[in-house]
Amino acid sequence: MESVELRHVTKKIRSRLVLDDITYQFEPGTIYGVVGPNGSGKTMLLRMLAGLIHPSEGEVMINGRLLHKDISFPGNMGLIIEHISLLPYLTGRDNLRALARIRKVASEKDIEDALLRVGLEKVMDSKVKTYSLGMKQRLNLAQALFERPELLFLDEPTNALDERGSESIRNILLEEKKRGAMIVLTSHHMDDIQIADVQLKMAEGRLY
Amino acid sequence: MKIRVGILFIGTLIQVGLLFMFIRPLYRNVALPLPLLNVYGVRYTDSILVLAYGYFYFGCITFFHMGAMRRFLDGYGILLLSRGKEYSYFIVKQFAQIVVSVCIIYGMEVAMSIVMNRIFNLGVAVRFSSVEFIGATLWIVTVSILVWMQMMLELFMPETVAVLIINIYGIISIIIGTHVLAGGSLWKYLCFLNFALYARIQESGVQWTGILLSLAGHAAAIALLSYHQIQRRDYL
Repeated sequence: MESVELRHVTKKIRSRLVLDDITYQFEPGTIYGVVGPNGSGKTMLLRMLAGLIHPSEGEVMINGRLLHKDISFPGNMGLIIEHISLLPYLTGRDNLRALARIRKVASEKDIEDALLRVGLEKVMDSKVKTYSLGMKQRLNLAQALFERPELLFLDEPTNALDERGSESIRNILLEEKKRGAMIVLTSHHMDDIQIADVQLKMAEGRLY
Repeated sequence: MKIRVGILFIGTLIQVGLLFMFIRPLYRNVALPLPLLNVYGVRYTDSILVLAYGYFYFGCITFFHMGAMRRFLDGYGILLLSRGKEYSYFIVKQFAQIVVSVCIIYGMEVAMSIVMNRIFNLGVAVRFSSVEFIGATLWIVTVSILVWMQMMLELFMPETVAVLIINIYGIISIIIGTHVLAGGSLWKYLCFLNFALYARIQESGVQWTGILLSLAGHAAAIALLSYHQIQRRDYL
């Protein structure tokens, strides 16, 4: 099981402090909910954990290995962040197949299971360009889940979903937690992180 | 995307028009090899004509490709990178895509010129031999490497600045090329865009080995810098 540790992590972007001296240890089998207003640094924190940005100061450790030095990215990770777009000219199923070819850990059944879990059974063989915003968000969740990752970093996973959709996502996350995955999810609203075991607040780049 | 395609289409139309209006009259008694619009018929001493003919279309092509690398890396590329896809994959894929794209653009230009030739009954002879083949290959490789250079710059700076730099470089290399191509200075091997104009190279007597070394050197430098920057950049 993977654990993630931030040690005095600071990130500056063009002299603006977006993460301010964050030290925190994330444990496996736990859901962490990070809430905060726009520009508070939630997304940056998630990107830092996922290895997508480099700390200006401090270190990110994944299972005792230094991120960006010992390893480029956390090895076994599922990710949802803004602007990620799957290939519109492929079907939902083919998109996951294309991604599955990289790690080679997911079978055809894993792909189908993930698509069923997120409720895309009727459209999994339709091209992504025909999907609604909500369907695209579900497919995004499927791509994050289908390889059964030990780390899940989810930036506003219930975005564009109705109440029923959000509820089903919350249930999926609870199942993933039971499997032993460490989940970090962010939101603007406290309601969205009610399922979290640990609720964290972010403001002006600091984690409380 | 539609705007980019529209600009490229209009650019192609203007480029073909330039050939028939300005270049063709200079070669009244010579059969113009139609499939080689980009590389033949431009005298290396004529800066203004070369700029209009040799640079303008290149500018359209750079605009068409603007931001492609950044959009890919910050979108779908993140899913590949986070799954441990090799950095070198992005470099190879990027260059392959550019070459395919430039070949399609070239084909589009040739097709449009053939259609225009037929419609206006201009009587231009179509010819294709090994000389034209070398010239066309040189145009495709040179333009591809320059677009690749533009995409490498986009990893370091905003795409608008990168496209501006590559276009200023294109203009300067053609203007300076008029003076340095015929001389002994090694600067001629850095005036890259001239390599896309086969007639210029032929008339100036630039060494083929020098051209190939320059192209290969630039390609290697772009690959290394891109690799380094893909590894260390922030995916915001």
